[in-house]
Amino acid sequence: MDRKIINVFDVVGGKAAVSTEDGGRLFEKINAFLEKDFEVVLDFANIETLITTFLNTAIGQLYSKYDSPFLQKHLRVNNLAQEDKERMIKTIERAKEYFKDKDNLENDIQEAFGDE
Amino acid sequence: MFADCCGYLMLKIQLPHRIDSDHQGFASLADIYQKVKPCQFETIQLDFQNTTWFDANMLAMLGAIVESAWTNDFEMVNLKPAQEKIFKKTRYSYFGGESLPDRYQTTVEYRKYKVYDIGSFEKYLEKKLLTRSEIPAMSILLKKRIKESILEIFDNARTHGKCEFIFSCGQYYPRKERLDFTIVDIGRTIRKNVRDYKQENISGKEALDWAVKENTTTRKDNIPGGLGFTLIRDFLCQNGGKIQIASADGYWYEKEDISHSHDLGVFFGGTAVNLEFNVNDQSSYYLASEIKDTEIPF
Repeated sequence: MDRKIINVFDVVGGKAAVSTEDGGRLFEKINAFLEKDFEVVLDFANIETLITTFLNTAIGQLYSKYDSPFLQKHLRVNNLAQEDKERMIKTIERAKEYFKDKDNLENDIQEAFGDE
Repeated sequence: MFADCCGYLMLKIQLPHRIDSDHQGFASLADIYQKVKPCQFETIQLDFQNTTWFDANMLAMLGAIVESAWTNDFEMVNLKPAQEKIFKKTRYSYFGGESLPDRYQTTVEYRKYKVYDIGSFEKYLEKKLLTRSEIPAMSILLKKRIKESILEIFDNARTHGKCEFIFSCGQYYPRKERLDFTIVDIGRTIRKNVRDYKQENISGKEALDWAVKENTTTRKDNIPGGLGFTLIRDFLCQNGGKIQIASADGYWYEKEDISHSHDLGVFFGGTAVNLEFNVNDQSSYYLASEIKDTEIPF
């Protein structure tokens, strides 16, 4: 599998990963390489501020397209500050739960329409 | 309402005795919002004759209210010299950016930001809030958590408030060793967002009770939400801080893990969030055990 290292500092243009727009840009980059079956390594070197709105858009959104086994195989992080790892893990847990609930809701709606 | 010497309509609003960062303070300012809302091309006098105390951080809400009625001319009259001094220390925009030296550096400048400008807002927090020698030495991680909490609220206002500007102002209270920071938007209220999402005609208080629950979000797109607020609550609980929210006709606060919601008593057409941080916090915010990069469970 080919490997692509994405430098988060370079994507956001600084040490603060805080905007939804930057999160969206990172999502697009990750997605482009995952679609080509690359292994993607996210390098968080020199990122000092990281908030969930950025992570939800960049990482959480990936679960709308890929399942956990696929991402476990294709996605890695490097140099993520120790205190930000908990935030990353919670973002991932929340994303899995969110899309499970969303799928359930959509199934319920489909079933409801099916009954009519 | 009366006509001034030139025949223009003038509305005079008497401010209350005190504006504190509490339920009554938010309600008093929401009352001003209600009074100025119908006015257009008028002169509105804010009379501070009876006002002996105004928490500087609450200028964020006053600034947002004045902006929401921007076709009018506002005059602040009978401001006590000490009060005017504090307002100028915050560079409150009413004074056209005029500022006074803040010898003890207890105020955090009043600012109005365009919603997409979170990058500049982040730099402002770094410069005006977190690198000040007057605030007791806070650990790097405590500063980081404070900054992240404020940025989460800013982005939340942008995402859910659908507004143009976000207003902020802060005040450090040395004796209490507390830092209060208020962020306000005039946009879609939390009640409106929750009503639209749940398709239920609930009150502002009920909407806040729903919105603050863990992992709830009114988003319906492919971007998960509802986590940031949970992290802020967890952090403030550990820090011994406090959070208050006033939106539509609801008010909610949490301190020391105990939360309460109330009717605000008057409608406010936006959302005001006040975060109070304990700056003398000796907690360690390090994780109990180290997590390796390869242990992130995608």
